[in-house]
Amino acid sequence: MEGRMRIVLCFVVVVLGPALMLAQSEPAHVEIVASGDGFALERNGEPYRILGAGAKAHFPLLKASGANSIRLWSTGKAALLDSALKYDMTVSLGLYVRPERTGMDYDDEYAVRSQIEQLKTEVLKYKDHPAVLVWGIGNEMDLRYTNFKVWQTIEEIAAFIHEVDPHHPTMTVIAGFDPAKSYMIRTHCPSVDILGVNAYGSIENLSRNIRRFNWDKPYMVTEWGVNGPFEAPMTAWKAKVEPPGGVKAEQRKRRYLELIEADREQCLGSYCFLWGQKQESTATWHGMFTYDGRPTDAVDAMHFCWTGSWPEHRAPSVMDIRLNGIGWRKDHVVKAGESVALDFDCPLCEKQEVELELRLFTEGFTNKIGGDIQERPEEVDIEFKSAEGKAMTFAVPSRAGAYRVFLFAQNPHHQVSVANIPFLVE
Amino acid sequence: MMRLSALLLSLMLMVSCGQLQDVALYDVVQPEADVWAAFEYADIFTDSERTPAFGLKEVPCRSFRAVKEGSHSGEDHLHLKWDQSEGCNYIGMGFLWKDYKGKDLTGIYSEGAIELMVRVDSGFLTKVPMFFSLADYGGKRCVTKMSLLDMEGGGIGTEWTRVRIPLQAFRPERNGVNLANIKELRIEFQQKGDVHVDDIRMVPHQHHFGREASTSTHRVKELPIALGEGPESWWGINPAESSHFRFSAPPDGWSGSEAIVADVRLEGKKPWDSFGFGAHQWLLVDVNDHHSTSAVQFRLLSESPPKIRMALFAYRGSKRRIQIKLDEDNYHNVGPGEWAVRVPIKSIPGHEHMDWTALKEVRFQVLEDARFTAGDFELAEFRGNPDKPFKWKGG
Repeated sequence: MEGRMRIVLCFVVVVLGPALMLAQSEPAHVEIVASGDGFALERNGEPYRILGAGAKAHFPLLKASGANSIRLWSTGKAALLDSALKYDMTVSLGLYVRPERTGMDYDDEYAVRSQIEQLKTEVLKYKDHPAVLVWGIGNEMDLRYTNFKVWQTIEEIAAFIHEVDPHHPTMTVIAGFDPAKSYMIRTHCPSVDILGVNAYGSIENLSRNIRRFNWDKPYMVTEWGVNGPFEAPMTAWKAKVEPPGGVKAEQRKRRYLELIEADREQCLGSYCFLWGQKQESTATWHGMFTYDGRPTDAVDAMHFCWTGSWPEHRAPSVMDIRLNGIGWRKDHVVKAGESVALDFDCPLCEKQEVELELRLFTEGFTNKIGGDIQERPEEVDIEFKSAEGKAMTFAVPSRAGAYRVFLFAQNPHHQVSVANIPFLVE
Repeated sequence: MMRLSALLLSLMLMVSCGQLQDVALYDVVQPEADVWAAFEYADIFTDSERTPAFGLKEVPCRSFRAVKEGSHSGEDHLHLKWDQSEGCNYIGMGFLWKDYKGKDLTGIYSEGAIELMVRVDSGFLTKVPMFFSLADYGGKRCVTKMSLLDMEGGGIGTEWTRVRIPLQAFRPERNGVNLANIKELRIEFQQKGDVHVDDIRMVPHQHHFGREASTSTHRVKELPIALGEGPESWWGINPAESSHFRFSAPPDGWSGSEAIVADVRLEGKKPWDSFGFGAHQWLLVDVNDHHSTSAVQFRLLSESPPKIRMALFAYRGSKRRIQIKLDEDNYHNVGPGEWAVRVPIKSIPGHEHMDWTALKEVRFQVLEDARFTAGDFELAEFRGNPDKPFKWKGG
């Protein structure tokens, strides 16, 4: 009897064990289907609208906010496939194709072939992961490029994916859309199924331009949010002017509801940017979290977009900020060591207890573009003079230069809204 | 007599050719000087005593050690562990490579490679975030990394794996590195890794890759050239999106494969509608030799000249868009309801700041309600007064 039991157990381990593992690691079948006059995505036979974010962390809140997918820019963070799976989310998995602007030479046969063969191994490694939704081949290779051979690389990888992976569509991701890119991808990349477009200010006309520029396959908005620093107005001393958190959150909500969701014919969904934090001109421009992980009012806006309702606790939302009574859109020039008054508008602050924090940084001038890494500017001690209600007075540095003051308004749930004003000390 | 002479001449030539071949056979052919035999800097790292390395330290972000156990050959090998996330911008090490003597790699450049033996303690890697740089004594350096193409067995496992880095992969010419006076080899590390490295040396290597010619630029050698041939080059003409523009067959006597029929009824806030085309298959079009003596011209059927703005775009440069609103001087009535349209490049404000080696697009904005047929777009020679496009009788 004891011997028989052992045999049965062995059977379970030897036969069922691999079968169970297989079930866990089986890829989801994703395909593009015709839908009305356009397209839709289906995952394991079910309609699948992408409610996504560019995210590497904060997954429980992402899930609770109604998202169903994350975008990864490369397989370098492929461990996040498991994290996504844990929260029942899918992944648009990026294959990092080196852009020309980083020094890649698409006339160099060795560099090109090395990259392609390397990326093929990545495809084979991850194609069966159950969280994979689509392949994102390259990101913004078209930014300041002049060698169109990059599209041959994209096509070869896309064709390879179709050869070895029958479960996942292919996508390539570009920085904004124009007729030249449309032509190049249509002409040179027939194996690309979906166009991914990173669109900030240009999202306003994206849906129309998709049609005007003759893109007749589906697309998704692979990065979107508020207008980027590269589109922002500048002060006389070339500091980018960033809208307050509340204004940015409103802009996100409007763009999602009126632009992305309005195009259900060709648009398969979107990934908002950025469910996390990064330095891009400022530490708060695109990030929906602060550097220390506190969610901002942008998170609430996405919750509303994805679920149709606001979260139980709303973050404060700063709608306006002023220095010496002059709003954030204007230039602010002050004298060294001068005391200045900062005040702000925040209707959502009226209904809750809000803690205010001011921080001062040197201006982070940069000429970096795209996703290039930027360094955080130096923090400067701030000398408070007085605070009363929503008005604070502080002394600006005694050293001449360009600075930026940040206001953080935080509620007891550690939700925060951030606004800043650049100023010049003469 | 003529035929006989020709025959004799042919025979003489055959004899001559045969004699040339014979000479080649009987002459003693001197072999090329063996550059490898003369190259005294082949060993870069064999063990830490004979071929010292610098940067072998155990500090935050890296543990770079020489270890004896499990070496491929020699007394020891390098065990390199690093993790950039521990707060380091730069992690690197390098080799003294014959006590920093200036090394001339020019003789072995085309058929040489750096070879190294690599293994890992577990797993199988097809890429390692290690970057190899050759620095010259002028402070210039060129960088490359290991390629899957030159990893024996297609990746690095727990057995020693031979990896080669062709010298040509460094592309020293891009940074002006002086290959005749190389100082050192460095390795820079990114992200995270853990590898064993041994026996780094220069070896003969056949590199089967070259550089392809650029195909992104269409260079215009002479004018005229047709602009925007083929409907796939156009945008803004999609009946499903707008009824303002559609393609038609070109009217009799017009060249090109299509003409544009415009029926523009502007509504709402938008004060214009537009269409455009790539100058030539959306390539970079190099008209640098011609732009100052050329004009965009086309033909138009319309009761009266429509209000149009024309813009030209370049792929690069500080000025990427120039534009001009066409006026009566740009139109020339050539028959009932038929117009020739000519826009000299020099008449467009800002033309002198465009990069004419990278012309991208021609775009038209229709600024008021209009009905017309347009076609036969070309860039043609124009040497007249830019302000009087139809006074010039040349071309």
